[in-house]
Amino acid sequence: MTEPEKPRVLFLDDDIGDPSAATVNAALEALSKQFDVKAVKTLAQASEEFYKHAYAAFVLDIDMRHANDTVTPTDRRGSWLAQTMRSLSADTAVIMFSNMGEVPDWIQVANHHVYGYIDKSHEQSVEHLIAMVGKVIASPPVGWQSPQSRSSGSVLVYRSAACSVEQDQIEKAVSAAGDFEPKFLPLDKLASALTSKLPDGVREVAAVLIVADELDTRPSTMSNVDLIGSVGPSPNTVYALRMEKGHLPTVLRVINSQPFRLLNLNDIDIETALTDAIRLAAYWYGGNELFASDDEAYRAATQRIDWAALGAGLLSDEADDGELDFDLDAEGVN
Amino acid sequence: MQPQIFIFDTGVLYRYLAGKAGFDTKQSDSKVFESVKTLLERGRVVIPHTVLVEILGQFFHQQLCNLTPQTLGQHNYRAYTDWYRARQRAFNPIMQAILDPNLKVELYRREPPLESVGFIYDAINENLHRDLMDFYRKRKDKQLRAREPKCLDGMDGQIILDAVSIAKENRKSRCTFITQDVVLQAVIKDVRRRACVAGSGLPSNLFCHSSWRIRELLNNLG
Repeated sequence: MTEPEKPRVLFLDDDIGDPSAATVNAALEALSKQFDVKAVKTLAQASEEFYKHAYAAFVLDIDMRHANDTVTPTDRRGSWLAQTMRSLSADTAVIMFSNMGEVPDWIQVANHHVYGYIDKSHEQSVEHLIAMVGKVIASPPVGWQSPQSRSSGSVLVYRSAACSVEQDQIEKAVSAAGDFEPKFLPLDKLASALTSKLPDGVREVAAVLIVADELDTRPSTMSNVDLIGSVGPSPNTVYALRMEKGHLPTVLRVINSQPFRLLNLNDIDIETALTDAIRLAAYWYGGNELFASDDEAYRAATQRIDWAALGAGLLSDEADDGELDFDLDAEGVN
Repeated sequence: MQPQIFIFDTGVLYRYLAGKAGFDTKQSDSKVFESVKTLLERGRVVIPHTVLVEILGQFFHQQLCNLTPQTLGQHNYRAYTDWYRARQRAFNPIMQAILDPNLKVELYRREPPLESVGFIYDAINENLHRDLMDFYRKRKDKQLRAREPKCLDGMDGQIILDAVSIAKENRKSRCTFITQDVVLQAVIKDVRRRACVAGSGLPSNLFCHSSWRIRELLNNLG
């Protein structure tokens, strides 16, 4: 009897093999004990592997300055590749493994629904990575999930006590998104409303909105974040936070709860951004959001498709260049 | 009059994906791609569920691996998952277009009424028969393939029933079925002839347009 094949994992890091990159080498070694790991050092190699093979999980570094990559434009980072992968295949499991991510990276990967994000500089980062990859493998993608769009209902809102976004701004943003009614709740009540019984007078929940300048790091707050994330995408959750580099631990906890949207209050026109995010969260209720891929990535991803063979089965009754098309304007038909 | 509705046939979806991938064998193919792209972005497009099922079958359930004499009959699930992922990525833009909340693309998935069975059950009329035989006689490749001459076999019957139903449900809109399939063009032409007869029950607002001339449709998009 042949042994079952180990799940395939792609590991991208520009520091692989560098003796000073102890965490990277330890992660690679630990992963390789359990999985069939392909290690690559450049975005170009990782892209090529993504286009060629089906991997159970992709572990991506963000900062690629040490890579000797003559193919990929220098401004591209692991967060760009995460976005590309998620755009081309909605059930690709991507885990960011980095200590050099910036706020725009956090937003980019969260808003393209990466599976998780681990801070490489954390003392137990390797253990966390192995556990997360194990979790991906143990719960393979659920496949196609069509959204059950909501065009009306309640939006459960948590607004932190000392929040710079006023309550009436949030009310306006929610109302502008559709036939939605904001219901303001403390975070713990919001979490329990989602997981047990809705409070009286609350209509079916279409989306959840968390607005805070900075989430506190108390364990109870963080476990509520996890709880709220666990019900997504039914409903989806939008986080609007004021993000700075020092907020990494809290923001990573939010990213790992798999929010629908992560907005940086420092960068956005608040009401418009909240309205758009709520409208889309309600639209994609219950389903997996699909993203448009850019043409360059699409072409690269599909270059191995035998389009002629595919078309042969579909176009057999077609006239070449329309020379046999019927004159549909003739005979008084139109 | 309500805005025009464009109904896409399977071949149109294929041309769109192939064009997006850069697989344009001829200049005319890339013109079709550009026009389909514009219609998806700016027009009101309906894709019959049957069309989606047909192209899904083509993408995901034919040529399940790259067979060679060495690999024939071998169980290699890893090779299959590689193949599947490649196909999935190639197909993604269609699902994205159907579900993009910023586009006006609708997936039509209603059951046709029972009386529509007659449309497939009844003998085709003389005009349609003449058109079909004309097509097969003029086609460059005069060799008849298995099942030919044919008309509404397999998915084609259901696709035409969907197009008829869409037109009936949107009587105030001009509904334009876009196809490169000459047989389906002949059938829609016949529907238009029959719609002029009192009591036919067929819609008079269903039109057909060859995708080779699809650019003409862009003029009135606004």
